[in-house]
Amino acid sequence: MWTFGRKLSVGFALSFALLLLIGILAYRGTDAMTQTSYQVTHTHSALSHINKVLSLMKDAETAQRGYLLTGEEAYLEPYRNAVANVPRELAELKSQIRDNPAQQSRANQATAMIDGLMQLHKERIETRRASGLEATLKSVSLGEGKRRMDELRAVIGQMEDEENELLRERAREVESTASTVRTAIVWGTVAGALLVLVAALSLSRALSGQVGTAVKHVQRSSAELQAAANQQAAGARETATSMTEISTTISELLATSRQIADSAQRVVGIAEQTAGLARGGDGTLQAARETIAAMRRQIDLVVDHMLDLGRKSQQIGVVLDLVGELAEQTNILAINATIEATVAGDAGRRFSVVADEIRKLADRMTASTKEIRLQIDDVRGAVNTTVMATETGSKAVDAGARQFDDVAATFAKIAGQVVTTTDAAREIELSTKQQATAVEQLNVALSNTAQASRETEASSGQTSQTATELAEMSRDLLRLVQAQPT
Amino acid sequence: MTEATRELLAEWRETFDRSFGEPRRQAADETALDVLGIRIAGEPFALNLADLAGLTPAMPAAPYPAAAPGLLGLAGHQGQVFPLYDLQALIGRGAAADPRWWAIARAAPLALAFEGFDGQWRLSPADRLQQNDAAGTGWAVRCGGALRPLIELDGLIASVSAHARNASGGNDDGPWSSATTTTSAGTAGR
Repeated sequence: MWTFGRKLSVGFALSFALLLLIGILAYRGTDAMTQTSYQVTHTHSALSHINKVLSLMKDAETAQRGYLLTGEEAYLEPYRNAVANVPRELAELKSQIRDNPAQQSRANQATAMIDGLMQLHKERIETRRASGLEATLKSVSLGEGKRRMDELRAVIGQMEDEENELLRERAREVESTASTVRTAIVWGTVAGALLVLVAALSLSRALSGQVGTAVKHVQRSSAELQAAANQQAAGARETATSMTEISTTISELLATSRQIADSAQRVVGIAEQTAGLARGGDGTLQAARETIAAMRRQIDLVVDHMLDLGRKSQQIGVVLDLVGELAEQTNILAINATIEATVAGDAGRRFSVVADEIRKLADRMTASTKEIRLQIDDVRGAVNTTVMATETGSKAVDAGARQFDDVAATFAKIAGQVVTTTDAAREIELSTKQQATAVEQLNVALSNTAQASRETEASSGQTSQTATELAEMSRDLLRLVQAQPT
Repeated sequence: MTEATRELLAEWRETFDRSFGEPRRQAADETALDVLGIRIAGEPFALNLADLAGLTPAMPAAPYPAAAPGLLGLAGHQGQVFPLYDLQALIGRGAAADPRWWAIARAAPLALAFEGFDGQWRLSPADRLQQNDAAGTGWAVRCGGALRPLIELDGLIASVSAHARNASGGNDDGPWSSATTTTSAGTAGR
């Protein structure tokens, strides 16, 4: 796309070239016309010399005739003038026509004729002077003079015609040159006008298009700049306000730091007291550890007793199996005895009663055995439960002992940490004092920052004003470029 | 020893002592019914003690090459050899898994194997009840508060004997031949 500057440069370059062409053509035409004018003047000068020569020759003939008729010397004055001036005029004429060989030839021919005529005039004058009028008239009557004069008139007429023809040719040249110059001026002017018109239209469109777009862009940028400046001013105001609030907060922080320093001093005192108490608690921990060890031994004893009880219950179970087996065998024996008694009939009836009693005893024994087995099983279950519970308790005691060891170790660590805490509290106290100093310096720096924010706010106001002016200028420029309000 | 145990022991002693002190109850003894509570395929049954000649824990039976239904082999008891039959098979409940007791029949020389032995009861006639749908005799007995079907051994022995006679074809080569002799003796003794 052609830029506005490029279009302007091309327009001016084309206009310059056109003007230069017109100027060159006009100069050349004027120069040609001037040359032609010089040549016309030259031709006119040649014609003047020709006419002058012819006039002098006429004067010389007229003077010779007057002298021949009168014999008075006064009539010879024009003759003498002609004798004196004709050679000069002929010389000047030849110099004028030296660029024309035909005229040069005619001039030489005329010079020879003039010399002959002048010689004839001289001879007649001398004849008149020496022989008188009669002899002269006789010579004149021969008509030699007239014939020669006519021949001279003819040659000079040819020369005049030649020069007049040159004049007409020069006039045609002048007319041609003038026509060329006129054509160049007319067409050059038309072309120049068209070029100027096209350039004006193009530049106008460029102004209202590209420049207008650029100006609108500048206008929008100005609006954005103005908005940014306003935002910056608002931000600076908020910053200044925040700085003031921060300054207040920092003042409070300063007071808090001093309180922290006082608290740190108290912490140092409490930590020292805690270290003393931790050292005193060490003996108590030792006694508690011994108590736990005694508890552990008692629990081990209980577990041993319980395991012994379980073993004895197992032995009772074995004995009970024996008793149960005996009861079952007794029962079978009693049943078989009853069968035998039944087979024996009346004789065995009393025996049957005894056998039945034995069977009852065996039944009771079996029932008791089952009941005792259940109780033994209960006892063994209780023993197992007790052993497991005791073992769990033993493990709990072990865990408690380990935890107690951990507690004791933790107490020792606490005692060490209390010392560390004391040192740390002292460092906190020192650091807090340094912090208070730093906070004071920070407060000063914040005051400076708040001042800088206020200055930024003022600067942003100026920027906003400048942006407003720039937007106004853009609108004016756009109005100038597009010739209409936006 | 708890108080309850002491009281139970005292009751047992008193009952034991009283059995010696009380007079003989002849009528009651004559009408009393002695039954043996057994368990077949997990279910309770009863055998009349008067039908039996002995009760013994089971021992390994000697195998016998015969195809009689329910015959497990040969069993020895008090110097005698008996054919051993599966009581569960005889009452039509299939083969027993693990018979642990033998009962020796009095009516015929044969032994019956069954799974469980629950006990012996001396019952009054009132505890003997008619029960149509029960296996065996159609009778049931109330033992310890529960009813048990009473197995009638005579019918079973009769069917076993008939089958044995049919299988042997009249010769005396089978186990039933000696049993027949013993049965005769047993019947005579009864």
